[in-house]
Amino acid sequence: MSGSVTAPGAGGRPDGDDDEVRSTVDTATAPEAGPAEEVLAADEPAVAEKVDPEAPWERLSWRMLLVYPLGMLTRLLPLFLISLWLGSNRSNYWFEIVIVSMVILGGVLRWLSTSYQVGSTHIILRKGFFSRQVVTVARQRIRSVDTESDLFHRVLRVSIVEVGTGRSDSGKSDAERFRLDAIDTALVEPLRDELLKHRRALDPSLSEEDEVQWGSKYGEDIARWKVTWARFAPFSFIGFGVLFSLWLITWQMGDMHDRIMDLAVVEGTIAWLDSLGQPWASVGKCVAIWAVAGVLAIITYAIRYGKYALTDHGQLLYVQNGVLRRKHQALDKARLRGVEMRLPVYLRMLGGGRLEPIMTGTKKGATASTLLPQAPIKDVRRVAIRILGDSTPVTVPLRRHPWKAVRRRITRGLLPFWIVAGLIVLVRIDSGPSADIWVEWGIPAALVFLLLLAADRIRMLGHALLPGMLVSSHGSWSAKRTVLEADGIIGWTVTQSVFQRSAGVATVAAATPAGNGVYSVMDIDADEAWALAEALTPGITDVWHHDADPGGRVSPSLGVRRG
Amino acid sequence: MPDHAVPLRTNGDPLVSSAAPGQGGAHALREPRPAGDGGSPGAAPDAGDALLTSNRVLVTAPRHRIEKRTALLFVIEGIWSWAVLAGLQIAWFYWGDNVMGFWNWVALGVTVPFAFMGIVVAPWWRYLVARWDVSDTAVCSRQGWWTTQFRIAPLARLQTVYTTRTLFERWFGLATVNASTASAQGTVQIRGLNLADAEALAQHLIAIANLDAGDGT
Repeated sequence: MSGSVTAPGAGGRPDGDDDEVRSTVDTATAPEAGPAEEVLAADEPAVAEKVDPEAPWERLSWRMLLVYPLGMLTRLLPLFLISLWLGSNRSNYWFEIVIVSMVILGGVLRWLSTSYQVGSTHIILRKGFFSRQVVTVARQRIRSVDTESDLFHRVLRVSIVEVGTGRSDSGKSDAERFRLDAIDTALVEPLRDELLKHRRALDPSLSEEDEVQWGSKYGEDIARWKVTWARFAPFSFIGFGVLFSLWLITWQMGDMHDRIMDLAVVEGTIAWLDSLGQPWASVGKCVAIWAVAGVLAIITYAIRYGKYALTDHGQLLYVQNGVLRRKHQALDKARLRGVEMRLPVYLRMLGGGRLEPIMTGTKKGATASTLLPQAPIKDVRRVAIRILGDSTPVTVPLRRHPWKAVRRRITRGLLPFWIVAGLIVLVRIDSGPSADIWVEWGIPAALVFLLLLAADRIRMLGHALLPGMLVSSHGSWSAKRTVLEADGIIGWTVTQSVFQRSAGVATVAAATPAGNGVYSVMDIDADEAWALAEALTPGITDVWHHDADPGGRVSPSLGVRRG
Repeated sequence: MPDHAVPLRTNGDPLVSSAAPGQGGAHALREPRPAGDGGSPGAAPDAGDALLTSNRVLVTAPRHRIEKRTALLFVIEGIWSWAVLAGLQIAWFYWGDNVMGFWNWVALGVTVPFAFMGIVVAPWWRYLVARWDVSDTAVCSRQGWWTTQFRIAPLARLQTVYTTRTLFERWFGLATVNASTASAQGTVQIRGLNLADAEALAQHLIAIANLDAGDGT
């Protein structure tokens, strides 16, 4: 793997990079009215008027019939390996045969049912064998043509092409995507030129060299992955996720679960742990599971983020990820509204953290773009400063919240304790002295653990108000420091529970289209709640602004009663 | 729409009308920071104390109440969700192996007070809290019971305005107006308007929101 990144539109250029190559050109906004893309049933009249009778209907490359099963089977390879290893004394292989034939059949059906047309006003994709769908995209609204290809695609000289309209990917289902998987690589470049013709005419600054640069190694390196970063991997939930899915697979595979549990190592460890007596046996088992998950996490982390690089290309930030499935993502700086430093306590204790962008139109959840995976906190700070172009939001000491907020961290932090303790007591009442050990160990352990967490919450709680920027920090188990631009805020909410009202604190939430959608400052002084909103969005309180001083305590979430 | 009791104050800012700088609150804050602050070398960067010229900004309660029969709607909705839980417990009681055993009592003891709060207390409390208001430039709502929230969204940032009516709302002749912004969490939801009011409010909001050409992000 050469590590080089090819130019967009040259997804299949034989340059020795056997990874998936993908690039995005996605900068401007398209404020025109009307839907950019539509998914319709095949027989609707709306489709008929968009079809260009002149233009020919194209099909996917026939080589896709080879690529698709190969790709699918590679992804299923772990499953096959496990089933062959642990099921080696079976005489029938119906499981493997059924899966392979279903994959091949699926490929054939997809090839038969997919066709596309580049018309004069719209591009149209027909797909789906059992339920026919037609995706139409107005050519004027096309904003990006991404190409990607992995190992098999490159060997057989085909590429995946995806046409984007700049609509956020988050709400898009597979059915809505204009995605050609896969067409002949030789056809990609002409298709791309054709589809982006109007963009070049529209924006003279978008020259072809720029596009080449965006997809190339050109640009300033901000961060690159280091092997030592993998030390943070066991302190994340990736490993548990992988372990859990493997465990589910073993249940699927008949006697495999029993076979694993019967392995000498596993049996020996469990027997040794059981011999330690009750509280330690459970703790030991947890540690053992965590150790296995940690190894899996290091492997997964290295595969997912190996070759990670973050480069600055002027208007775009360019994130590359992945060893096996290579992902190249272009993040438009115009859509960036801030950054979120994730500093969960288990990672922070080792001096680690991660960095997420707060931007509009990115995917949410597992597929969200990450600016920096688990990395040393020094690098997290450096990258955050580099991206924000200002060190103040990252380094400024935060304003502390009133002491009532501190008290609330402890009372609220101990809520789970009362539930846990109550359940343990109930179990003790129900099942008798055999549960005494849990009363003795479980309750103090829960108390100490939750008090430590509460202390950490107190330490992390704070906010800072900078010109045009809101910095807020809270949490412990999932602590975050969020930097949000005031320009990105589109509404404010002040929330108070009954307890917050009696303590005279309030939670202020800034709504934004970017990232999570809402970023809140927890438990600030009730009187400051709307002052904070006013400072960042002047005039937000509008006609509800109360001029006179009513005296006494007034709740910002209920408002002053009109006289 | 009724006339505003309080005259609108506007400073020409197209986004939201607001008080003149220096008057009540933090309007002057968008201007560049004075050169003097942080002048002494080595001074710790300030975390916003200087920006909060007044750290007491108060809001008045929104003017409009919702329809009184909405409380009954809340009661019915409350019953509906607790009925499912009660049904599960009854099923557990009848078909569980340990008839009215220890854990049945525990579950019942937890359910009854919460259900009482949910069905009897919460609806009236929610009715008392719920208020809404609209100005020429913003829409706000107050809602909740145990936890109350006061939400303001500038009309310039509205993306869609729509009304919804659930089955129960149709029985009562009520409707819900949703003024949604580009943020999933920024939607101002006003429940318990009668149908005519809801449609008038939605039309009013749509008419104002349409004036703005931006994409609201």
